[in-house]
Amino acid sequence: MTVDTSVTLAGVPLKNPLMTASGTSGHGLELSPFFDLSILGAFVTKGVSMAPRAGNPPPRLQETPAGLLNAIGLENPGVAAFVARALPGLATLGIPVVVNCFGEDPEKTVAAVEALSAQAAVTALELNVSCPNVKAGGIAFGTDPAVLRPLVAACRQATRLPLWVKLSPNVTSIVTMADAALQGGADALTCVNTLLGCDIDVRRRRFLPSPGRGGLSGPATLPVALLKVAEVHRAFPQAPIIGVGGIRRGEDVLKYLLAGATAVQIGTAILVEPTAPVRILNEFTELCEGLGISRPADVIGAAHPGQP
Amino acid sequence: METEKSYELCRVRERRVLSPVLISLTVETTAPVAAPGQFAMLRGPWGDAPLLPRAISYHDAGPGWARFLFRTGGPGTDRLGRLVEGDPVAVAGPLGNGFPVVQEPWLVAGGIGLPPLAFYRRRFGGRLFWGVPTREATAGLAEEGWALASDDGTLGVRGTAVDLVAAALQKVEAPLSPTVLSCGPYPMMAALARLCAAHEIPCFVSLEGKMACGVGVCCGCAHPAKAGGYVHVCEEGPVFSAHEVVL
Repeated sequence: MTVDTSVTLAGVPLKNPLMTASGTSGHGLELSPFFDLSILGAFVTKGVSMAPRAGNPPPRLQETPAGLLNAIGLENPGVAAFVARALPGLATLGIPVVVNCFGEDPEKTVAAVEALSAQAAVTALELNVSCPNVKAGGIAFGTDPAVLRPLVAACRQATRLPLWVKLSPNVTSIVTMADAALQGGADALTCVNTLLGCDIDVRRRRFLPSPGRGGLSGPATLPVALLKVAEVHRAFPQAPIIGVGGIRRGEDVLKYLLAGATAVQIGTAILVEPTAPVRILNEFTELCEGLGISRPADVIGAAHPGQP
Repeated sequence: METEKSYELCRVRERRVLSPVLISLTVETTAPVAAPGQFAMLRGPWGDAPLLPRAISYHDAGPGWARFLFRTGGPGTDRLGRLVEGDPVAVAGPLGNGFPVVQEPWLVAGGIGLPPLAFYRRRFGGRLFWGVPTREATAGLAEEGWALASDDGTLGVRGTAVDLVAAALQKVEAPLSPTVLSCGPYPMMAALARLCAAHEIPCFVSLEGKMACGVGVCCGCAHPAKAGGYVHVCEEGPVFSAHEVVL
């Protein structure tokens, strides 16, 4: 049996549902020495803001059981340097290029969206409203529906590109935030960003990573992120969802699809194993074949009661 | 001296237990031959914890093989240290820039900072200075012609590798031409950098940052730069001119 892995995500055709997750695959072709990036359904960049950001002081990382806390602080070269140095390389891949972007306030967010929308090589934008590391922005947008909805609406006005909104799991109700993003005009929802957490160095009596907290990613987060995808899908069955959190095997990809995601993002697994997407795609295809799923797009949301 | 990066599942060809805490692993690899000062990300088949691969300096390398010498004691290095001949180990490498090839290298190692400098000496020669806490810590690695120091005086002179370099500098007649290449604890490298600055000789240091990817995608291994902002140990380093970075 041949498996047709293609999916269509909010109007964007993808040859398979696998993408990189923002933050774990660089701004450009940093991973290309390790595998052919064009095998991906889409490439999602590390977050970009209008002005360059130096990021947080070290230590930015702390390993946890089956997980990783990070507080990179949204280090990035700024839109102009990204467009000049990284984007031309990405444009040669021949796959959709999704730029993750953010701003420290609504005006800067819209400015980044506008600047990136002017680039022909950009297929879609993923708005980061949930990065938990930056005191000035991020968390405020993604945790208050009264802030999120007008922000997304302003970005919607500023671009004709597909606009994805990456939601934070660090809220009482992700459904409320998904609703705000959809009402603001989001075309798709990325579920979810990292979970807030911390560790403690008992000898120095200091919180880790350096800001005192960080975003948890890795296999430990999969059950949480999977439930968030399921909750958003249940509330908004028509909304395209990109599932992200802890994927490291082909079976995990299928779980996210069954929960309601149209596509998925591979993050921390790439840090552990730079060629992970190649293996995961093979495993996913073989698993679908073994389970008699000739078209994975047909089983999106199929784990929900009442689904075929 | 940057070489092409690769990622592959290797086999352990040889494991040597040099001391209760020092392990040498030789792996079979098809990757380009590493340069001294470069490192690899190593991970064995141990499930999801510890999650991340470990950054380990090359101790030696040739066509088809690479050797790593490391100290155990952490959750990752303990597991790496238990790998035996024939075991699979995932290796991403060679990574990073490596030490510059210079005319008159003085190789200054503190403790487990030795492997990249011993590798350098084997390939390019140079005077090697090694400081250890005590004689047992050398685990038989010390070679003929090295200058040795120990904190407790059980081996070589009592003191540190920096003391050895200071003494050697006294004996060198001006104009001084050595270039110092160093790897060891940060306080040791900071003292060495001050000594080199006072004698106006170039000093390079190899940094050890907490890394997730090792390949320049996560920006996790940021280290403060003297000019402000950060350098990234894995991509721009791990070897830096001592005046570039805060030690």
